[in-house]
Amino acid sequence: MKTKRLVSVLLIAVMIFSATACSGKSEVTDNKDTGSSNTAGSDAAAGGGSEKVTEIRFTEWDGGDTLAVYEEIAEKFNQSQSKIHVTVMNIPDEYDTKITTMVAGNDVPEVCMLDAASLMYTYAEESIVLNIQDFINKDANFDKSSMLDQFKYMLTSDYMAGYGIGSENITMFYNPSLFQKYGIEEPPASYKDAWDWDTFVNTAQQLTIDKEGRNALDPAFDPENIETYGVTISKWWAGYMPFLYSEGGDYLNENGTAIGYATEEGIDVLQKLADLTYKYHVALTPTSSETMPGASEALTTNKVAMTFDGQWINAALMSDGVDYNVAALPKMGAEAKTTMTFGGISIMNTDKADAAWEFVKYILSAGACEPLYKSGLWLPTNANEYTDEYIKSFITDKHPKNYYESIVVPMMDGTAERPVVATIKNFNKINDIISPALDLLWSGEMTAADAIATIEDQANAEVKGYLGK
Amino acid sequence: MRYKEKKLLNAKTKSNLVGWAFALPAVIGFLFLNLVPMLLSGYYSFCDYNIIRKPVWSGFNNYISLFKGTDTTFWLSVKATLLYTVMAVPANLIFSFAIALLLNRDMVGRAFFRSLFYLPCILPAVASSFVWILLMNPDFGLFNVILDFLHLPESKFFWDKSSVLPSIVFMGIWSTGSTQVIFLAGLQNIPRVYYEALEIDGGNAWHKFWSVTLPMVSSTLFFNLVIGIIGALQVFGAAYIITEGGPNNASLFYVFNLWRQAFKYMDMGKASAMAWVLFVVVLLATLVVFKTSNKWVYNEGGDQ
Repeated sequence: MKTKRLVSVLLIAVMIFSATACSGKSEVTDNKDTGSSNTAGSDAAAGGGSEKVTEIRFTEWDGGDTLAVYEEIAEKFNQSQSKIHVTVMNIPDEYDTKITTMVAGNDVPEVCMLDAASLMYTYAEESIVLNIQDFINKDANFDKSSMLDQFKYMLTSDYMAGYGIGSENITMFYNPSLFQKYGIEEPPASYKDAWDWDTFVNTAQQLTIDKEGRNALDPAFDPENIETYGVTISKWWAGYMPFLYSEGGDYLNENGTAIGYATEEGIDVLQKLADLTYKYHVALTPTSSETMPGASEALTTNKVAMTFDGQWINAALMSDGVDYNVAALPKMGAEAKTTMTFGGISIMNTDKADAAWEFVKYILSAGACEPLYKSGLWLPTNANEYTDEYIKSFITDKHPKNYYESIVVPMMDGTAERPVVATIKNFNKINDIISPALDLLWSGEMTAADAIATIEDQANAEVKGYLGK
Repeated sequence: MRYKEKKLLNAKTKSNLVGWAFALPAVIGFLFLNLVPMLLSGYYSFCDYNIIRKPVWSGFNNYISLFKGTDTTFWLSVKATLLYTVMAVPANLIFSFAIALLLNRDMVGRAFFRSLFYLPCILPAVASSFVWILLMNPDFGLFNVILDFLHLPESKFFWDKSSVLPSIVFMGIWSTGSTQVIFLAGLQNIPRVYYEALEIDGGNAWHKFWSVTLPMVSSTLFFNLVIGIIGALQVFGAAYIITEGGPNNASLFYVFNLWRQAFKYMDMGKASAMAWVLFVVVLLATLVVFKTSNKWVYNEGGDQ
C-alpha cells in the first residue's frame, strides 16, 4: 500500500513539475489566419502566376493600429511582386519565449522584430540573425544612403544584426491649461532653449497644488494631500538616460569597464530625480506613476502638469483629442538631451533569407510606414524621410503644436542618443542588477549613492563593454 | 461449452484492451509531453545550454553555481518563495475553508453565492491583476483611500519590499475558488447522523465543528494542503505580471527567476537545474506532509 502511494505521489509530482514548465506559454496566438485570408486576394492581383511563391513570415509584437499597418504593408508588398508572399505573425505575449521556442524547434521565422537586449545580439553571435551588411553589399539596387547609422544595431563594426523601425523619443508632455491657470510660462519647445534643472524644479513646485490650493513653494504646503502633481517621471533606463547624457555621462564609463550610474554624474542624476518626490514633493512616487490609469486621464483630469514619457503615448493622446503639448526635456548638465527607443528588424538564418531581405527592404523604404507617422506614434528611420518637406507632410493638425521642434528635430541634430539596448553588451543582466537596487531609491529608503553602492561591484562584474566595436 | 469458455477469456482480454485504449491518450500524453521533456531537462541541467548551440556537458557546474551563490538571485528567490509559501498556504486554507463553511449552510441564494466566490477563478490572471494594481495604487488606489478615511496608516502594497508579499497573498486569497469547491465537497460528504448524534448528546456548534466537521474534512484538508504547498512553491504570475520581482527583489519568486534565466538570459542549463532543485524540494515537502498525515488525517474507511 505504502509503495503504491509513494508511486502515485511521484507521478503527481511529475505532472505538476511539467505543468510548471509549461506555464505562461499559453497566451501566444498567431495571426496566421488573418494573414492567409489575404493570400487569395494578393495572388489574384499578381495574376496567379505559375512560378513558385516563396512563403515567408514576419513576426512582431505590436497589436492594434501598428499591427494593422504591418498587415497593410505586407499586403502591398505581396501585390507589388509575385515571387514572395509574406504573412504577418502577431505574437502579443511572451514574444521572446515564443521566438526562442521556434528557433529551438528549427522552425525559424524568416523576418523578426527582435528585442536587442534579449534576443537579437545573442542570435547574431550564433549566426541565427544574419548580417544585413552582406545583403546590402550584394544588392546593387539598394540605396545605402537611406540608412542612418543611429538606427543600425551593430554587433561588431561590420556586423549589422538589425535596423531600427518606428523610432519613438522620450519627451515631455504637458497640460497647457494648468500653465495658463497659474500664469506660468510654458516649457520651451526646442532643446536649445531647454530649462535648466533649477528652473524646471521651480516650475514644478508652482504647479504642484495641495487640497487647499497651496503650491509646493508655500511654507504651509501639505505634501500628504496633493491634488495636482507638477511632474511624473519614468522609472527605467530611458527615463534616466537623457539626464545622464545631459551631464556628459553614459550607461558605461568611457572604456566600457564600469556602470555609468556609479559615477559622480550618474549618482547626481538619480538623486535629482528622486528628490523630485522626496525633497520637493512635486512628483508622484515613480512606482505609482507607473500604474497611472493613463497619460490622457492624468493630463485631462489635471492630476499632473508635466510628464516625462515615451512617444508611444502620443498617438493615444492625439486620438483622444486631449488638450496637451510636448516640450523639450529640461537639462541637468550643459546640454539638453533625450534618447530614442526603437525595435529592430532582423533577417533570420533560413534558406529564404534573400526573400526576407526583399521584404525588409520594402518595409524600410521611404513612406512604407507613413500611417504610423501620421498617427503620431512613430518617427521615420529612413534617411530619405528626414526632409523638411516630407516631415511637414505627415504632421497633421492633430499633432501637438511643438511636435516638430520637440520630437522630430532631436532626431536630426544629435540631441536624441541611441537606445542603450542597442549599444551595451550584456544589458539585461546589468540592468536586472541595477533596477532592484534603484527600488530602494525610488521608495525613499536610500540615497542614490547608497543604493548604487549596494550593487556596484556586482553590476560591474557583468559589464562587458560597448557593442559595435 | 468449450466455445463459450473461450469467449469468456476473450471478453476479459477485450475489456482490458478497451481499458487500455481509453487510457492510452493520457498515457501517451504523459510519456511524451511530460516524462520525455522532464528527462531532457534533467540532461540539460548538466549542460551548458543556451537553446541555440548544442548542449555541452558541464557536469554539476549549474548546480554548483546555484548553491555557491555565484548568481546571488538564486538564494534571494528561494527566500522570497519560502516566505510567500509560509504566508500563502495557511491564509488560503483558512480563508477558503471559512468560505466553504459559510457556503455549506442552508441559506437563501446559496447557488448564487457559490458561483460568486468561484468567479475570480475564471478571470484571466492578467485582467484581475490590473484591477488589484489599481486598487493598491499607493497614491490614489481605493485601499489607501479607505485606510485614509479610517485614519489608518497607508501602505505602498506591491511597491514596498516589506508589504509586497502580504499584498500578493491577499490578492491570492481572492481566487481560491477551486479550493473552496473541494472543501465544500468534503463538507457535503459528512453524514448528517454524526451531527444529529451530537445534538442528542447536547453538543453545541463548536463541538460540532471541532469533533465532527474538522476530523471528517481532514482528508480534504490534507489534499488541499499538499496542492497548496506545491502551488505556492511554484508561484509565478504575480511576479511576472505585477512586480517583475521587485521591489529590490522582494518578490523575485523562484519560478519567475527560473523563467528569467531561461528566456531572458537564455541559460537553459541553469534554468533546468533550478527546475530540478524545485522538483526535489516539492517532492520532499510533499513526502513530509504525507508522513505526518497519519497523525492528523482521519480516514473513515481506515485505509492505511
